[in-house]
Amino acid sequence: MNIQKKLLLTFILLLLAAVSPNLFVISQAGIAQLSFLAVNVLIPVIILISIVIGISIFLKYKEIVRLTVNGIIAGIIATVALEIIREAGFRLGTMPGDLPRLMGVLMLNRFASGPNIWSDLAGWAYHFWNGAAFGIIFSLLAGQSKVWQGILYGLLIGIGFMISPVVKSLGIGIFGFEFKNGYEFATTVVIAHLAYGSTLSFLLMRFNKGIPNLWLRIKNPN
Amino acid sequence: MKNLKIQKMVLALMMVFMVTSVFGATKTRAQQTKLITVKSTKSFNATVEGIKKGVANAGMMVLAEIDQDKILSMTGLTINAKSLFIGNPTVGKTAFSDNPAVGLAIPIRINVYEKHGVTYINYFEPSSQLGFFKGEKVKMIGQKMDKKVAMLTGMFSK
Repeated sequence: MNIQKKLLLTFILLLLAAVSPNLFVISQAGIAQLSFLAVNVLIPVIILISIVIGISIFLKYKEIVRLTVNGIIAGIIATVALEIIREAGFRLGTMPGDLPRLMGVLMLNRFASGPNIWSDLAGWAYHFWNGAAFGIIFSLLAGQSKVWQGILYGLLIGIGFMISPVVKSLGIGIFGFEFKNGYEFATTVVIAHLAYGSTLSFLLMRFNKGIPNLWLRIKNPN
Repeated sequence: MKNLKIQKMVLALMMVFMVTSVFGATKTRAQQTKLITVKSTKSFNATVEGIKKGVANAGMMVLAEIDQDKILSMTGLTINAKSLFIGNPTVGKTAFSDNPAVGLAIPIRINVYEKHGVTYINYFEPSSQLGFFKGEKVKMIGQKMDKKVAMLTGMFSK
Protein backbone atom coordinates (compact mmCIF):
# COMPACT_ATOMS: atom_id res chain seq x y z
CA MET A 1 0.00 0.00 0.00
CA ASN A 2 2.84 2.31 0.93
CA ILE A 3 4.60 1.81 -2.39
CA GLN A 4 1.39 2.67 -4.27
CA LYS A 5 1.05 5.92 -2.33
CA LYS A 6 4.71 6.72 -2.89
CA LEU A 7 4.37 6.01 -6.60
CA LEU A 8 1.27 8.14 -6.85
CA LEU A 9 3.01 11.09 -5.17
CA THR A 10 6.08 10.61 -7.40
CA PHE A 11 3.97 10.64 -10.57
CA ILE A 12 2.04 13.70 -9.39
CA LEU A 13 5.35 15.48 -8.74
CA LEU A 14 6.68 14.44 -12.16
CA LEU A 15 3.56 15.75 -13.86
CA LEU A 16 3.55 19.04 -11.93
CA ALA A 17 7.26 19.62 -12.56
CA ALA A 18 6.77 19.07 -16.29
CA VAL A 19 4.19 21.85 -16.52
CA SER A 20 6.37 24.91 -15.91
CA PRO A 21 8.99 24.52 -18.71
CA ASN A 22 6.19 23.95 -21.21
CA LEU A 23 4.38 27.20 -20.44
CA PHE A 24 6.87 29.32 -22.37
CA VAL A 25 6.64 26.88 -25.27
CA ILE A 26 2.82 27.04 -25.21
CA SER A 27 2.88 30.83 -25.20
CA GLN A 28 5.36 30.98 -28.08
CA ALA A 29 3.14 28.59 -30.03
CA GLY A 30 0.45 31.26 -29.77
CA ILE A 31 -1.91 29.12 -27.70
CA ALA A 32 -2.07 31.41 -24.65
CA GLN A 33 -0.29 34.45 -23.26
CA LEU A 34 2.54 33.79 -20.82
CA SER A 35 1.13 36.46 -18.49
CA PHE A 36 -2.11 34.48 -18.28
CA LEU A 37 -0.32 31.14 -17.86
CA ALA A 38 1.96 32.54 -15.15
CA VAL A 39 -0.96 33.55 -12.95
CA ASN A 40 -3.38 30.74 -13.74
CA VAL A 41 -1.02 27.79 -14.15
CA LEU A 42 2.53 28.45 -12.95
CA ILE A 43 1.72 29.81 -9.50
CA PRO A 44 -0.90 27.09 -8.76
CA VAL A 45 1.58 24.42 -9.91
CA ILE A 46 4.29 25.73 -7.57
CA ILE A 47 1.76 25.75 -4.71
CA LEU A 48 0.69 22.19 -5.56
CA ILE A 49 4.31 20.98 -5.59
CA SER A 50 4.77 22.53 -2.14
CA ILE A 51 1.59 20.78 -0.96
CA VAL A 52 2.79 17.40 -2.30
CA ILE A 53 6.12 17.91 -0.52
CA GLY A 54 4.15 18.78 2.62
CA ILE A 55 2.05 15.62 2.30
CA SER A 56 5.23 13.55 1.81
CA ILE A 57 6.72 15.07 4.97
CA PHE A 58 3.48 14.33 6.86
CA LEU A 59 3.45 10.71 5.63
CA LYS A 60 7.15 10.42 6.47
CA TYR A 61 8.11 9.52 2.89
CA LYS A 62 11.62 10.85 3.45
CA GLU A 63 12.88 9.49 0.14
CA ILE A 64 10.39 11.51 -1.93
CA VAL A 65 11.07 14.64 0.11
CA ARG A 66 14.82 14.17 -0.28
CA LEU A 67 14.62 13.51 -4.02
CA THR A 68 12.35 16.50 -4.66
CA VAL A 69 14.19 19.02 -2.50
CA ASN A 70 17.58 17.83 -3.78
CA GLY A 71 16.25 18.11 -7.34
CA ILE A 72 15.20 21.70 -6.72
CA ILE A 73 18.54 22.67 -5.16
CA ALA A 74 20.66 20.86 -7.76
CA GLY A 75 18.46 22.23 -10.57
CA ILE A 76 18.96 25.81 -9.42
CA ILE A 77 22.73 25.39 -9.07
CA ALA A 78 22.91 23.65 -12.47
CA THR A 79 21.01 26.60 -13.99
CA VAL A 80 23.84 28.87 -12.81
CA ALA A 81 26.24 26.69 -14.84
CA LEU A 82 23.91 26.95 -17.85
CA GLU A 83 23.59 30.70 -17.37
CA ILE A 84 27.36 31.25 -17.43
CA ILE A 85 27.49 29.74 -20.93
CA ARG A 86 24.24 31.35 -22.14
CA GLU A 87 25.09 34.84 -20.88
CA ALA A 88 28.60 34.64 -22.33
CA GLY A 89 27.10 33.42 -25.61
CA PHE A 90 24.61 36.29 -25.62
CA ARG A 91 27.34 38.86 -25.05
CA LEU A 92 29.49 37.30 -27.76
CA GLY A 93 26.53 37.42 -30.16
CA THR A 94 25.95 33.69 -30.49
CA MET A 95 22.42 33.96 -29.07
CA PRO A 96 19.70 36.02 -30.77
CA GLY A 97 18.30 37.44 -27.54
CA ASP A 98 18.30 37.53 -23.76
CA LEU A 99 15.76 34.80 -23.05
CA PRO A 100 15.13 35.38 -19.31
CA ARG A 101 14.47 39.08 -20.06
CA LEU A 102 12.11 38.10 -22.87
CA MET A 103 10.29 35.70 -20.54
CA GLY A 104 9.99 38.53 -17.99
CA VAL A 105 8.36 41.03 -20.36
CA LEU A 106 6.01 38.34 -21.61
CA MET A 107 5.11 37.28 -18.07
CA LEU A 108 4.28 40.84 -17.04
CA ASN A 109 2.70 41.60 -20.41
CA ARG A 110 4.92 44.63 -21.02
CA PHE A 111 6.62 43.81 -24.28
CA ALA A 112 5.89 47.24 -25.79
CA SER A 113 7.45 49.01 -22.80
CA GLY A 114 10.45 46.71 -22.69
CA PRO A 115 12.12 45.18 -19.64
CA ASN A 116 12.38 46.78 -16.21
CA ILE A 117 13.64 45.51 -12.87
CA TRP A 118 10.38 43.66 -12.08
CA SER A 119 10.14 41.96 -15.43
CA ASP A 120 13.82 40.98 -15.15
CA LEU A 121 13.17 39.52 -11.70
CA ALA A 122 10.10 37.64 -12.96
CA GLY A 123 12.00 36.33 -15.99
CA TRP A 124 15.00 35.18 -13.98
CA ALA A 125 12.76 33.59 -11.33
CA TYR A 126 10.87 31.69 -14.02
CA HIS A 127 14.10 30.64 -15.72
CA PHE A 128 15.57 29.32 -12.47
CA TRP A 129 12.30 27.63 -11.55
CA ASN A 130 12.42 25.82 -14.89
CA GLY A 131 15.91 24.63 -13.96
CA ALA A 132 14.54 23.45 -10.59
CA ALA A 133 11.59 21.71 -12.30
CA PHE A 134 13.91 19.81 -14.63
CA GLY A 135 15.98 19.01 -11.54
CA ILE A 136 12.93 17.52 -9.77
CA ILE A 137 12.15 15.32 -12.78
CA PHE A 138 15.73 14.08 -13.10
CA SER A 139 16.12 13.49 -9.37
CA LEU A 140 12.87 11.52 -9.08
CA LEU A 141 13.70 9.40 -12.12
CA ALA A 142 17.43 8.83 -11.66
CA GLY A 143 17.85 8.90 -7.89
CA GLN A 144 21.60 8.73 -7.26
CA SER A 145 22.47 9.58 -10.84
CA LYS A 146 25.49 8.97 -12.99
CA VAL A 147 27.19 11.82 -14.84
CA TRP A 148 26.50 10.34 -18.30
CA GLN A 149 22.79 10.28 -17.46
CA GLY A 150 22.87 13.98 -16.69
CA ILE A 151 24.77 14.75 -19.89
CA LEU A 152 22.17 12.83 -21.91
CA TYR A 153 19.35 14.54 -20.01
CA GLY A 154 20.82 18.01 -20.64
CA LEU A 155 21.31 17.20 -24.31
CA LEU A 156 17.69 16.08 -24.65
CA ILE A 157 16.43 19.30 -23.01
CA GLY A 158 18.64 21.36 -25.34
CA ILE A 159 17.41 19.50 -28.43
CA GLY A 160 13.82 19.80 -27.23
CA PHE A 161 14.31 23.55 -26.88
CA MET A 162 15.87 23.88 -30.33
CA ILE A 163 12.93 22.20 -32.07
CA SER A 164 10.24 23.91 -29.99
CA PRO A 165 8.01 26.78 -31.13
CA VAL A 166 10.32 29.13 -29.15
CA VAL A 167 13.04 29.11 -31.82
CA LYS A 168 10.43 29.55 -34.56
CA SER A 169 9.00 32.61 -32.83
CA LEU A 170 12.52 34.01 -32.41
CA GLY A 171 12.75 33.88 -36.20
CA ILE A 172 15.84 31.69 -36.29
CA GLY A 173 14.31 28.38 -37.44
CA ILE A 174 14.77 24.95 -35.85
CA PHE A 175 18.23 24.45 -34.34
CA GLY A 176 18.82 28.14 -35.09
CA PHE A 177 19.98 27.30 -38.61
CA GLU A 178 18.73 30.67 -39.89
CA PHE A 179 20.73 32.65 -37.31
CA LYS A 180 24.15 33.96 -38.38
CA ASN A 181 26.19 31.10 -39.88
CA GLY A 182 23.73 28.49 -38.66
CA TYR A 183 25.89 26.81 -36.00
CA GLU A 184 26.49 29.46 -33.31
CA PHE A 185 23.11 29.16 -31.62
CA ALA A 186 23.04 25.35 -31.60
CA THR A 187 26.62 25.20 -30.29
CA THR A 188 25.87 27.58 -27.41
CA VAL A 189 22.61 25.84 -26.51
CA VAL A 190 24.21 22.38 -26.56
CA ILE A 191 27.21 23.45 -24.45
CA ALA A 192 24.95 25.32 -21.99
CA HIS A 193 22.66 22.31 -21.56
CA LEU A 194 25.60 19.93 -21.26
CA ALA A 195 26.86 22.17 -18.46
CA TYR A 196 23.40 22.03 -16.88
CA GLY A 197 23.09 18.26 -17.18
CA SER A 198 26.58 17.42 -15.96
CA THR A 199 26.33 19.80 -12.98
CA LEU A 200 22.89 18.43 -12.11
CA SER A 201 24.01 14.80 -12.18
CA PHE A 202 27.29 15.57 -10.41
CA LEU A 203 25.38 17.16 -7.52
CA LEU A 204 22.63 14.51 -7.37
CA MET A 205 25.25 11.76 -7.37
CA ARG A 206 26.21 13.15 -3.95
CA PHE A 207 22.88 14.52 -2.67
CA ASN A 208 20.88 11.36 -3.48
CA LYS A 209 23.45 8.89 -2.19
CA GLY A 210 21.93 5.44 -1.64
CA ILE A 211 18.65 6.13 -3.48
CA PRO A 212 18.28 4.00 -6.62
CA ASN A 213 16.45 5.06 -9.78
CA LEU A 214 12.65 4.93 -10.06
CA TRP A 215 12.61 1.58 -11.85
CA LEU A 216 14.60 -0.10 -9.06
CA ARG A 217 12.50 1.62 -6.42
CA ILE A 218 9.37 0.12 -7.98
CA LYS A 219 10.96 -3.34 -8.33
CA ASN A 220 12.38 -3.39 -4.80
CA PRO A 221 10.11 -1.25 -2.66
CA ASN A 222 12.03 -1.94 0.52
CA MET B 1 0.07 27.91 -88.08
CA LYS B 2 -0.08 31.66 -88.66
CA ASN B 3 -3.10 31.88 -86.34
CA LEU B 4 -1.19 30.12 -83.60
CA LYS B 5 1.66 32.67 -83.89
CA ILE B 6 -0.78 35.56 -83.66
CA GLN B 7 -2.45 33.94 -80.64
CA LYS B 8 0.93 33.56 -78.91
CA MET B 9 1.84 37.20 -79.64
CA VAL B 10 -1.50 38.43 -78.29
CA LEU B 11 -1.03 36.29 -75.18
CA ALA B 12 2.50 37.64 -74.66
CA LEU B 13 1.29 41.23 -75.08
CA MET B 14 -1.52 40.62 -72.58
CA MET B 15 0.93 39.23 -70.03
CA VAL B 16 3.28 42.21 -70.49
CA PHE B 17 0.30 44.54 -70.03
CA MET B 18 -0.84 42.73 -66.87
CA VAL B 19 2.63 42.74 -65.32
CA THR B 20 3.23 46.42 -66.04
CA SER B 21 -0.24 47.27 -64.72
CA VAL B 22 0.46 45.51 -61.41
CA PHE B 23 3.85 47.18 -61.00
CA GLY B 24 2.41 50.51 -62.11
CA ALA B 25 -0.35 50.31 -59.53
CA THR B 26 2.08 49.40 -56.75
CA LYS B 27 4.32 52.29 -57.69
CA THR B 28 1.42 54.74 -57.69
CA ARG B 29 0.29 53.49 -54.30
CA ALA B 30 3.79 53.66 -52.87
CA GLN B 31 4.17 57.22 -54.06
CA GLN B 32 1.01 58.22 -52.22
CA THR B 33 2.53 57.60 -48.80
CA LYS B 34 4.72 60.54 -47.87
CA LEU B 35 7.49 60.12 -45.33
CA ILE B 36 8.38 63.26 -43.40
CA THR B 37 11.58 63.51 -41.37
CA VAL B 38 12.28 66.41 -39.04
CA LYS B 39 15.69 67.04 -37.50
CA SER B 40 15.25 67.97 -33.86
CA THR B 41 17.39 70.61 -32.20
CA LYS B 42 16.79 68.98 -28.82
CA SER B 43 18.14 65.83 -27.22
CA PHE B 44 16.40 62.50 -27.66
CA ASN B 45 14.74 62.51 -24.23
CA ALA B 46 13.78 66.18 -24.48
CA THR B 47 12.22 65.55 -27.88
CA VAL B 48 10.16 62.60 -26.63
CA GLU B 49 9.01 64.51 -23.56
CA GLY B 50 8.31 67.60 -25.67
CA ILE B 51 6.17 65.61 -28.10
CA LYS B 52 4.17 64.14 -25.23
CA LYS B 53 3.45 67.61 -23.86
CA GLY B 54 2.79 68.98 -27.34
CA VAL B 55 0.34 66.19 -28.07
CA ALA B 56 -1.68 67.13 -24.98
CA ASN B 57 -1.61 70.81 -25.95
CA ALA B 58 -2.81 69.92 -29.46
CA GLY B 59 -5.92 68.24 -28.04
CA MET B 60 -4.70 64.70 -28.56
CA MET B 61 -3.21 62.01 -26.39
CA VAL B 62 -0.52 59.38 -26.52
CA LEU B 63 -2.57 56.19 -26.88
CA ALA B 64 0.37 53.81 -26.88
CA GLU B 65 4.11 53.96 -26.67
CA ILE B 66 6.59 51.42 -27.96
CA ASP B 67 10.02 51.57 -26.36
CA GLN B 68 11.90 50.18 -29.35
CA ASP B 69 15.21 50.81 -27.56
CA LYS B 70 14.23 48.81 -24.49
CA ILE B 71 12.77 45.99 -26.55
CA LEU B 72 15.90 45.80 -28.68
CA SER B 73 18.11 45.88 -25.59
CA MET B 74 16.99 42.24 -25.19
CA THR B 75 18.85 41.46 -28.40
CA GLY B 76 21.97 43.29 -27.21
CA LEU B 77 21.43 46.38 -29.39
CA THR B 78 21.85 49.80 -27.74
CA ILE B 79 19.97 52.61 -29.48
CA ASN B 80 17.60 55.48 -28.74
CA ALA B 81 14.27 54.94 -30.49
CA LYS B 82 10.67 55.32 -29.44
CA SER B 83 7.37 55.16 -31.29
CA LEU B 84 4.36 57.10 -30.08
CA PHE B 85 0.83 56.41 -31.26
CA ILE B 86 -1.18 59.58 -31.02
CA GLY B 87 -4.82 60.37 -31.57
CA ASN B 88 -8.01 61.35 -29.93
CA PRO B 89 -11.06 59.18 -29.28
CA THR B 90 -13.52 61.71 -30.70
CA VAL B 91 -11.68 62.02 -33.99
CA GLY B 92 -11.20 58.25 -33.95
CA LYS B 93 -14.95 57.73 -33.55
CA THR B 94 -15.68 59.96 -36.53
CA ALA B 95 -13.07 58.26 -38.69
CA PHE B 96 -14.05 54.70 -37.74
CA SER B 97 -17.75 55.52 -38.22
CA ASP B 98 -16.98 56.74 -41.72
CA ASN B 99 -14.78 53.76 -42.59
CA PRO B 100 -13.89 51.01 -40.07
CA ALA B 101 -10.86 50.02 -42.18
CA VAL B 102 -8.90 53.12 -41.06
CA GLY B 103 -7.39 51.27 -38.08
CA LEU B 104 -4.38 50.62 -40.29
CA ALA B 105 -3.53 54.33 -40.26
CA ILE B 106 -5.10 55.49 -36.99
CA PRO B 107 -3.74 56.27 -34.41
CA ILE B 108 -0.97 58.24 -36.08
CA ARG B 109 2.48 56.84 -35.45
CA ILE B 110 5.33 59.22 -34.66
CA ASN B 111 8.81 57.82 -34.43
CA VAL B 112 11.68 59.48 -32.56
CA TYR B 113 15.18 58.16 -33.04
CA GLU B 114 18.80 59.12 -32.63
CA LYS B 115 21.42 58.68 -35.33
CA HIS B 116 25.05 59.77 -34.92
CA GLY B 117 24.08 61.86 -31.90
CA VAL B 118 21.33 63.74 -33.75
CA THR B 119 17.64 63.27 -32.91
CA TYR B 120 15.11 62.89 -35.69
CA ILE B 121 11.33 62.67 -35.76
CA ASN B 122 9.70 60.88 -38.63
CA TYR B 123 6.17 59.97 -39.60
CA PHE B 124 4.03 59.20 -42.60
CA GLU B 125 1.93 62.19 -43.54
CA PRO B 126 -1.52 61.27 -42.14
CA SER B 127 -3.48 62.41 -45.22
CA SER B 128 -1.25 60.33 -47.49
CA GLN B 129 -2.03 57.22 -45.45
CA LEU B 130 -5.70 57.98 -44.87
CA GLY B 131 -5.95 58.73 -48.59
CA PHE B 132 -6.08 54.98 -49.17
CA PHE B 133 -9.46 54.79 -47.48
CA LYS B 134 -12.83 55.87 -48.84
CA GLY B 135 -14.86 58.41 -46.89
CA GLU B 136 -15.11 62.18 -46.97
CA LYS B 137 -14.71 62.55 -43.21
CA VAL B 138 -11.64 60.32 -43.26
CA LYS B 139 -10.03 62.55 -45.87
CA MET B 140 -10.84 65.69 -43.89
CA ILE B 141 -9.39 64.17 -40.74
CA GLY B 142 -6.24 63.31 -42.66
CA GLN B 143 -5.77 66.92 -43.74
CA LYS B 144 -6.41 68.22 -40.22
CA MET B 145 -3.97 65.74 -38.76
CA ASP B 146 -1.32 66.80 -41.32
CA LYS B 147 -1.43 70.31 -39.91
CA LYS B 148 -1.50 69.21 -36.29
CA VAL B 149 1.42 66.81 -36.62
CA ALA B 150 3.41 69.28 -38.72
CA MET B 151 2.92 71.97 -36.06
CA LEU B 152 3.79 69.53 -33.31
CA THR B 153 7.00 68.28 -34.89
CA GLY B 154 7.88 71.69 -36.30
CA MET B 155 8.42 72.96 -32.75
CA PHE B 156 11.54 70.82 -32.52
CA SER B 157 13.24 72.04 -35.69
CA LYS B 158 13.50 75.62 -34.44
